[in-house]
Amino acid sequence: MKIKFALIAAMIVTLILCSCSQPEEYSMDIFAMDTYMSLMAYGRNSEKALEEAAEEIEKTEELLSVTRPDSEISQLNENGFLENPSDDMLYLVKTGVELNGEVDGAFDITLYPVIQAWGFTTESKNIPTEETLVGLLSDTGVARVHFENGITLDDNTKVDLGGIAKGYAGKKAADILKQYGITSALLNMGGNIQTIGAKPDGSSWKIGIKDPQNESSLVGSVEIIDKAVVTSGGYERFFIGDDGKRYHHIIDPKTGKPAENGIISATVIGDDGTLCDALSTSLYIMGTEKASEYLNAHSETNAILVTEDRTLYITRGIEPVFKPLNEYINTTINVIG
Amino acid sequence: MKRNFICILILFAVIALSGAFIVYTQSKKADSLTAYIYSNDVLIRTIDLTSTDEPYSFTVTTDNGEYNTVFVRQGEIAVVEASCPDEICVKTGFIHSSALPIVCLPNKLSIEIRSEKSEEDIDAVAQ
Repeated sequence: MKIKFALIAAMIVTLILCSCSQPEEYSMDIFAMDTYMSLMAYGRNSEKALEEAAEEIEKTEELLSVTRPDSEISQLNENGFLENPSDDMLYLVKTGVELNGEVDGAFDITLYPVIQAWGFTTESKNIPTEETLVGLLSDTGVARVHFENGITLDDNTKVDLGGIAKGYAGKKAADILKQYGITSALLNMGGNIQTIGAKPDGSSWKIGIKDPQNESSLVGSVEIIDKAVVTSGGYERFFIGDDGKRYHHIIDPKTGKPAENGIISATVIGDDGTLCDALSTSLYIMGTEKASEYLNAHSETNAILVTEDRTLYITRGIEPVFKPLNEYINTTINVIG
Repeated sequence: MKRNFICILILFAVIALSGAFIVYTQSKKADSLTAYIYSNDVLIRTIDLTSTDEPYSFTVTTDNGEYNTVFVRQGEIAVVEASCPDEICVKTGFIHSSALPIVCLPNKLSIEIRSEKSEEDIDAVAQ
């Protein structure tokens, strides 16, 4: 009798001990959307949930890749219309159009012909002439996108959703994980970070912000829970022209040229990865002055801006969880917003 | 009666010891840094960076002849030479934590470091 009791007690204790160990963890690495993604989730069903999330990312890529001739976006660009766009496609094009007004034109999904002229979608980069750019810019602007009978574009207008695709894919992947009951996950979509909940031990995720002038260093870190963190920087994708100058991929819709307005890295932290993705690009293009104005007027947006002279601008909402690192430890932090 | 009591004691001692063993092995693991090298989505090699005493290098070559030369020394790993046009993998320099992977998109090579120490570690880098 007593032995039985002892055995049961021992089993219970063993069970408790086992349950104290780390929760189930599953991670997955994929190449998608032209980048390397590392997905990690904790808890029951994490393996199955991540597999489905990865499928969703690939599905979004198939829809939005301008380099795949069979994608919805390629169909739209080629034919000038898309009669039966998928819900995802319609949502993204509409969001892109709405955001354009929101940020005073700094974010423009119709810039695709200009981006093509620079060769950023291909291997052969080149500097287009002023004349070419002026010509191409005359066919841009979101007023040339219409939503009658699905989506229609004016002549010579082409759209690219690259500026929100990764953020959107991250959000969709996170939604799937949540449907599986995952309460802790970190999706690193090639530097576009989407988190679910807190870390398994309840602490915040610590996300580093890359130093735009030093590949292997960080400007600082932010501690977040259940948020997306997206950084835009000209250091990410660029080429050196025949003139020896550096040309990056963030094109200013006003000039058709790489944005050079004082900001070298713009990070946006928020609930909606799609919005963070678009806003980080927009703030980068706006430049120091306009971006500060925007953030002062939109206190709900949290951002970290690094300027050419290595000054930091951080919004009030995120400043308490920001920690400068390395060369930025003694930098002045301008709190805005 | 007494025998039963001893049985219980032994059982608890075993449980406590195994618990201690788990904690010990976990904490040992906490100090280790392992590099994972992937080529075309396949894990081709893992390297325990903590126990690397002598620096060495090796080359990963893809089916179509593209290559990346990897250099390993204690606690760090880098790509020092590559056939890719942008050489972003080389420019990344040495990595020594899980915060930043080395990625060569053209040659589909990636190197990441994993460790268990979470105190100072950054979970991911926004870039």
